[in-house]
Amino acid sequence: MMDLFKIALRNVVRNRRRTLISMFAIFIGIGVMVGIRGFMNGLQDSLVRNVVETRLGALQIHHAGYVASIEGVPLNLDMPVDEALLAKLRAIPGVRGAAPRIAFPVMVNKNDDTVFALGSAVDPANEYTVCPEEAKIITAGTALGTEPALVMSTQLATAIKAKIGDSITLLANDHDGALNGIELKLVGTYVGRMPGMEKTLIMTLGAAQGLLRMEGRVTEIGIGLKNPRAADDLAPAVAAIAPAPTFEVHTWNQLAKNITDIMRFQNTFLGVASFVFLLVALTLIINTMLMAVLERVREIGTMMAVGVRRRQVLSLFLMESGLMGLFGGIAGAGAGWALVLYMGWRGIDLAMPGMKNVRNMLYPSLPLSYILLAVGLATVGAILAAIYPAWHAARMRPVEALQHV
Amino acid sequence: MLTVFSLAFRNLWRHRRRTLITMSALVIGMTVVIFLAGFRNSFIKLIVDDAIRSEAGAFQVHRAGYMDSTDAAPLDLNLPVDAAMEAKILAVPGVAAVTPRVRFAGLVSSGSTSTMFIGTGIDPVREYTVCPDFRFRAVDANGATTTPIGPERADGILMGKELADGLKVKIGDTVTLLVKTAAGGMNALDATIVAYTLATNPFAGKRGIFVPLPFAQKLTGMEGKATDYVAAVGDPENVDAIAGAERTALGGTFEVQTWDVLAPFVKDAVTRLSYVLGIVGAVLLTIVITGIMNTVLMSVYERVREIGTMMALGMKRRAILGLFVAESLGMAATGAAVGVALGLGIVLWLNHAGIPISPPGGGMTASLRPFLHLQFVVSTVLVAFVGATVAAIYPAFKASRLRPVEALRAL
Amino acid sequence: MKWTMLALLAVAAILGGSAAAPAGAAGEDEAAAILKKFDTVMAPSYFEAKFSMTAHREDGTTRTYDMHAFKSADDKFRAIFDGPAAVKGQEILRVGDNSWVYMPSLKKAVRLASRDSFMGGDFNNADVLRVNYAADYTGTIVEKTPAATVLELKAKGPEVAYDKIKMWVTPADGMPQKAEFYTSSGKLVRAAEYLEVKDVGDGHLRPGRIKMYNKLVPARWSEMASHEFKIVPTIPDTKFALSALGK
Repeated sequence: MMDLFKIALRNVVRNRRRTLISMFAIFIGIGVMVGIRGFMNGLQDSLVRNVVETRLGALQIHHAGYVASIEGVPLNLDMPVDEALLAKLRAIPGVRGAAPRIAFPVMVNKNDDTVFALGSAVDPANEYTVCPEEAKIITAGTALGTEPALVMSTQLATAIKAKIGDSITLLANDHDGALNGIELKLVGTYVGRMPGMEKTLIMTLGAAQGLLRMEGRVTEIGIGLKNPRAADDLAPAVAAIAPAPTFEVHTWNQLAKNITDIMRFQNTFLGVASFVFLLVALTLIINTMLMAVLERVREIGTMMAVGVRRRQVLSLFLMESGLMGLFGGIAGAGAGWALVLYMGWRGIDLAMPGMKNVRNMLYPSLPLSYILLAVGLATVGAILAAIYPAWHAARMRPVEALQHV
Repeated sequence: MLTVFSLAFRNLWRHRRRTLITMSALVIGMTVVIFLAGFRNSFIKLIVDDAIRSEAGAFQVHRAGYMDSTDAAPLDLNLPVDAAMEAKILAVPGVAAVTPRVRFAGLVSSGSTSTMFIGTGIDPVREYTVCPDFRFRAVDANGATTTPIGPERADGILMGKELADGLKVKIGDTVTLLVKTAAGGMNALDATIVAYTLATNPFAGKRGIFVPLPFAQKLTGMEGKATDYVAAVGDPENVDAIAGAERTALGGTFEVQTWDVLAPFVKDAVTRLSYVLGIVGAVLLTIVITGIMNTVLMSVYERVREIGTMMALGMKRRAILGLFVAESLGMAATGAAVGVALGLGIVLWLNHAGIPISPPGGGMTASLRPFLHLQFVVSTVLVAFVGATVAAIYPAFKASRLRPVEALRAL
Repeated sequence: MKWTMLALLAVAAILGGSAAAPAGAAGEDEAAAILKKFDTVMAPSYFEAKFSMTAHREDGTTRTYDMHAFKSADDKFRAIFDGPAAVKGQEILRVGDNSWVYMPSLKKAVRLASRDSFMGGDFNNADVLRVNYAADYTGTIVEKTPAATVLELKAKGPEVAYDKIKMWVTPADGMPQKAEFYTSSGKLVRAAEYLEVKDVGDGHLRPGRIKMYNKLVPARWSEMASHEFKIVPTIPDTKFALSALGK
């Protein structure tokens, strides 16, 4: 058996031309499959990122009843929050941050222009740990820092004719319903990733708690996870620290249910495309193997004439094919991976003209496990693809084979 | 010339197995590319159609400045509901139907509580000619489609289940809608919830209520007026051109928005998927052509002695080149033809049978019906054909460059 | 915003009277006279007053705001909040269709969006108080009993908030007792009760407490009580200038 293997190896290495041609099909097939997968991962990731890491967080904690409330952003359903609570949440394995927030309706004013908006108050250090993309959507000026300040969407800034550095007046009803006001400096403007952020602003939490007379209280805690997809698994641990009936915990896919639906949809669609594609690649490999067999008819005849058994001929071809699959797979997966790494570093800009105020970058990515899978697939696939040709070769009659031109 | 061709043909025929193997790559590749295109077209159409037919319409007409207004639902920027206005819109070729709507905002009360809402008044009959799938957005408590807003019930309204739950009402209950009228006064009317709304837009707020148009007009004091005209077109693929023609026809006091501006999220999804599939298709074609090059190359090497013999017998290099190219042409032509035929066949069959699929966000299971554009098929065939032929040139070239002596000696 | 409504509301909460209106001639003249009297009672040309406004919400809680206010004949109104502490020093100024709110913490007046917003809340009820009946409505007497004269008021134009008002007044002194407010569709959306008629000086009679009900969400209602009410011959315009706020 070992000898046969050595012969197979030697055949593969010696006949470089033939090997390369055969490997080429595998190379391309696997390479593209890997590339598509990387792209698909990037697509799903970008969706998750746009939703989870820009705005929501992987999990959210609220006062019970908050999410279902028709008033949209009720201040009376709030919670006390202190550093101890946040520390406890951060201590859960897999959690990378806990961000206290308040959402509230607000009137935004500069000079004579006053507009209604949805305000969000965050603690920048915690917030950007939980939602790192939130800092990156800033297109002009800077993100929030330690000073009391605010950032707003570019549409809002245009509506009140505000520029970076301006002092903006915010009026809001406090926790009790009494009107209160504050002036803050506008330090940056942003472009939202998802629709619905056009009339929003984000301000520092301390200033908001003063404005709303909610010192020490918030309406929401956003939880960031190292792996956002693990939200469902970690929800119980979070709920243990913020239990019912006082609190409620939701995962991002519960809060943005439509997004998960869309993702699943896209997944299916691309899955079909990939599958079809793979089928073609495989066919091509069979094709190539068949041609290889035809090319070596005389060689096969010679082998049989000197006593090599049919079974051994079969094994030989399968092994050769397997080796070519392996090498081709490694090369293809390697090339695909390199491309994905490069595109992942560089990013693909998917800004769409229709959604001119939403930016979208795609970062293809691949886990190592998938690469290994691809190589394995190539090897196995090549072996499978060679079955018919190898069988065909093994079936030849030495006399006819030798006669073949 | 003819000799080369007939020789080529005979070679192909004689070595049927080799020919078939080489051709199979092309056939399969073509079939798949065509199928994928058909699949993608139907997929995109499904998503786009869904957006158009269930709420956005192919395009909408507003009074200039409406969409940019800082007000949530300005009533003063309105359009007349009369034959003249509609005729103007319908005059542009390609427009199939129009329907007026009134969008307004107010407070909805259920006796125990009240909250803000955004209302849309739709024509109980004509809305469905423009947005036929709107009908399916009326669901009962279990999510099954039920009777939508129609002319039989003047005060029947639709609202989202979340809003209804928040107001502590359900289907069959009465609520009061309180609004500020166009003139500045206040008005209120009672309405009965006949069904819940199924949201199509993942980002649509919870606050939407649909009412019959006459009800909305009466409530807001907008009799004879509308805030939107929603139009359907015969062929959604032409919508941009049609919208452009509308802008010219209507002039600067109106504005026209196409569905992708009104539902940008849809367009985004569509573009992304097209992007991916485009790449897949292109790569497929490349693979196929590479495969052909592969197999032709192999066949050349397989036939080295044959080539040597031919040369020894006096066949010119050019003729050898021509022979191989001709063989490739022949295979390409046949392969492409068969591939296209197969692909078309599959697409036609699937078009008839339909692929069941359930769209995101729930809703009824729809059928994907793959279809193709003629120019796509033609260009694909051309590309495959030319590509296959070009792919064969390199091997053919190598073949013609063999030295007869070495060739004859080769084993 | 609620506060816009408050401004609108405050406009009306009025006390003050004038001489008893002449006993009217029959029918519409009488009705017109009653309306005129109502306006004079509820919204004299110039006045200064102190009010408390209490809002009752559907969850059972109440909120009370104290303020003192001035009104001038050409539709100018200014209210300064005295309590609770959270709002003390805030002011609302309304001149015609424009409104401003003054925030003492910012030492700044912020102009409010001129379009009213239905942002739900305590003071929606109060818009019943911004009424100029004689100008906006045509009245007809529909019933006369010893206890009350009942009028029906029909809005003169579509821009008036309430299309129809049904009003009960005391025959002897023309004091309003209660009113019901209807939209053009005939829906009863608000109601008001006028209570505790007292003499605010110089023999002027005025209801000291007004209760306003939201007929669509009955659990929400408000009441307005006046503590001091002074009708004055005039108030200088400077008192209603933006620069006057906060001083």
